[in-house]
Amino acid sequence: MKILIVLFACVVAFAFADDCGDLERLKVKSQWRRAYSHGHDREDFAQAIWRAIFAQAPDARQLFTRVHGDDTKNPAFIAHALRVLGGLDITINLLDQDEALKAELAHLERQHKGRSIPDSYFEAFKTALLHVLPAQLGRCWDREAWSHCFDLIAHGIEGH
Amino acid sequence: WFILLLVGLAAADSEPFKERQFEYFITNQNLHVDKLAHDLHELEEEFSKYSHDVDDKTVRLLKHRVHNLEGPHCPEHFSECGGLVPQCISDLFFCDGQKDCKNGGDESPQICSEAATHVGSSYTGIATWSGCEESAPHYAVVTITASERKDFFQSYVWVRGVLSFEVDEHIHTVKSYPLRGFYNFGSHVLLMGPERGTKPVYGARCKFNMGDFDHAECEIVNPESLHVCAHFFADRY
Repeated sequence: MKILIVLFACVVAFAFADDCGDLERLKVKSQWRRAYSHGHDREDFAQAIWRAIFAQAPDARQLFTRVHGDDTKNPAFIAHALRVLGGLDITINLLDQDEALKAELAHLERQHKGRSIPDSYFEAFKTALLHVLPAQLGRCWDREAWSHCFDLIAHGIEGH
Repeated sequence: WFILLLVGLAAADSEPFKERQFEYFITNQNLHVDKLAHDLHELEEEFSKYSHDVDDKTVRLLKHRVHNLEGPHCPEHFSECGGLVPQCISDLFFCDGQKDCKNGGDESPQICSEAATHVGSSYTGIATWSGCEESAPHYAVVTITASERKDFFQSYVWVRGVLSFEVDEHIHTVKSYPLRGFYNFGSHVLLMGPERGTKPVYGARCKFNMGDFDHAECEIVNPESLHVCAHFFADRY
């Protein structure tokens, strides 16, 4: 019976590895480096993501009144959007360093805790990212890999 | 009495004479007008021998070709707002319902026309290969088979299509590749790569840089490196 349980655990572990597996992580890392870009381009990339989020979930703006979520062109909001991408950049770059990734996700989870963010907002973020990314990249991107690895990161931040 | 008779005769006789005189003048005037018409006609004949005015389409095409030669005005991922004061904004902001250009050019109806992505549009031209395929120039066709614009991210239209070209003139072997990609309003570029799950052989890139949506400069490219394999000027059918 014990062996069976161990076997089952292995299967579960393997199934988890299949979602955002090692190779997918490397792929996402390199594609992110291309998309994340630089300078003004990065600001606009961040803003495009947020416009797409708010277009899907207009109510989510209320969570961002402190950083002027009502106007995505407000410098305070642009700063916020860049901070968010900064956090995402850290997690994506740590995708191949498990311990550090866990620490960063735990840190982000603490920052989001108590803000009562519904899962649907994370979904809106994912949908936004998964549309703006290919537009920014223009070619060669792997939707599945991104979907898997985004879920890994989002679940880490959501804490469940 | 005699005088009275004379006056009476003269009155009776002068009526038809006046009429004839009047007719005479009219005829003369008509002849004069006819001559003028004839002269004018000759002048028109002479004028029609000169070359016609250039039509608007040619002027527009020329303007765009000059504009293209002026080189890219905006960095990568950015496009022009148009108008008299040059401004570049991100391709991610065109036609999304929010004015980002100072002149609102990024939301103008001409810029935001979805004409290029209409399902069934075919872009056809004679492709000249500079690599990838050993083949004489022949027709290549890019056809749009599906298109979708997400309402939360409207700057891009996601499209599916087919690239096909004849590889043998005699036995009419045609190669086709299913493609997927997008059209961007800012850059006017239709960019398509291999459909999911298909062998990554070719992609197609069409730039609508000639001032309308009926003409494009297309390339058949390697989907990874974007190395240009073939080039064709496409007309829409």
